[in-house]
Amino acid sequence: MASIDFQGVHLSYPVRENRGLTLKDLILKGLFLKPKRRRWTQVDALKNISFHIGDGERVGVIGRNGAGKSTLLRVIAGIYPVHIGNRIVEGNVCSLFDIALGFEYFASGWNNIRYRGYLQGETPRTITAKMKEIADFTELGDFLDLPLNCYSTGMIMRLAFSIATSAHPEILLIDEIFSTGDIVFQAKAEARMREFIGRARIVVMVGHNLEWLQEFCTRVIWLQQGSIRAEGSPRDIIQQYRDDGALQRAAA
Amino acid sequence: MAGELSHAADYGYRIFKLRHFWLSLVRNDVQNRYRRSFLGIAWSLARPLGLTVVLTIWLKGFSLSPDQYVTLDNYTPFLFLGITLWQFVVESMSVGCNTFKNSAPFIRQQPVPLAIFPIRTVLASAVHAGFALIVGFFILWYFVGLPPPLVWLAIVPGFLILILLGVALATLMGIVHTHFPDTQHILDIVLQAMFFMTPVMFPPDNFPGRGRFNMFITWNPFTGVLEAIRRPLLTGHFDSYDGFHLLQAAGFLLVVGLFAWICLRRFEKDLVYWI
Repeated sequence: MASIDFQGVHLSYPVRENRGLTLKDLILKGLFLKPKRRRWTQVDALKNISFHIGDGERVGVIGRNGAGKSTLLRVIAGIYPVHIGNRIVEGNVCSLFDIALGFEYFASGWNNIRYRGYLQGETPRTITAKMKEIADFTELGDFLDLPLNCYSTGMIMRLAFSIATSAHPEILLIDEIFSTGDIVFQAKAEARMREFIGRARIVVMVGHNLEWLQEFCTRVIWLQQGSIRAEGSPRDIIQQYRDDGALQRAAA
Repeated sequence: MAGELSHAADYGYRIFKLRHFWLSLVRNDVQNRYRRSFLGIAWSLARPLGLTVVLTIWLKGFSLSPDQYVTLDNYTPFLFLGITLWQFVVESMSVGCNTFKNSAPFIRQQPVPLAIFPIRTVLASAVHAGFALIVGFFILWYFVGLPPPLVWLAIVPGFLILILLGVALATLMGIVHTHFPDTQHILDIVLQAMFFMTPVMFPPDNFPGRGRFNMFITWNPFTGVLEAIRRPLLTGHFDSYDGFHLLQAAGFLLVVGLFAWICLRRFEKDLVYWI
């Protein structure tokens, strides 16, 4: 049984201003020179986040840019540590964030399928069994023999998407990956995405495609400046969000 | 204490589970290094070979003290092996500085035990050093002859300590450089100075102006690491002095390794915000 439990989670992290504190500055500061301005700023990204997501739920997270949606996903994934509050996640997690990153650009498409597969927990035997199916879905053909620095962005997205959706996660976290790819691939990708989502027990997705979220999700959480503003049925929350957006535009 | 040990065991297991990932990246790094160069491996050997030739010619008239193991006859393999081993240490630390920054896309995608990145970096350097060492063994055979099989066995612990030390140093440098971006520059200067304070070019018993630096050279932890491997190969036997070097190297590894583990435990979770 997969589940995600957050109780009173606060997340504050340091962000480096310009070039950051150097060893030289640290030593000089210790002697007699005081730095003119602070090099690190604390950002309160999440404030008092509490929710429970159970088996079978598909949760959408919406909010303005900078609300903390991607941060929330990364906390669920375990990438950002939690120091205040409790985070209890049961089930193996697969994250689809920035899927075009983390490739070895001098390696071929085939080798990159292997590397990404290994990172996702595959072994040489299991990835070899999946290689043909992954390669066929990309429709990249002989390009897979060439290094990735020969690929276009769209081709890299096809490869990334194909590899990412070959996993069998219990908890799936998706951060706005549906934005690129040509029109033919998008239709194909949507079908594969539905099948992939169908295999997961819990899905948490962040996106700005409200129609997609309304169709797919069983619940929607609206984040505003790091806090949960509202949560409930997709139709209701998305409508509230839209109304709020219209209000903001009218006021501006 | 028990909790710490069980955490360490669990961490080690997580690294082991991802072994296909980081081993395949090591293979990728090694291929990248040699792929685009016409002469391939030969280019990467050019530096230690070139340095050895130049220094051997330049130091031909250099007076070597009679009561130590390096002579004009075995100076060339002494130099080449020293430079190769030192080069591995330098690379581990210098390239290790950027090991986490370069792996930022992986670190931001999913939680992985971060030690796999310095392991990847150092193993790739170890493969490269391995190629150079093979050439070094040919040079050793030509000038002095190869030592008996037991000596080869005796230097295996030295090699293991060297690689583990590389990983520990790369981890430390990676953490420090990710937080303080000028670390690599400072490190390069420090290592350049260390090159002249470590018996890479000069035998440990015969440093110019040795009097003042005697204690430093003897107790320089890198001396132990180098000599534990090099001296038995050149002398053809393993004696108590080599045992002392091995102990010195093991002690150094223990201290650095412990410090690296403590820093990793303390800062690993924050590293994702620094890269």
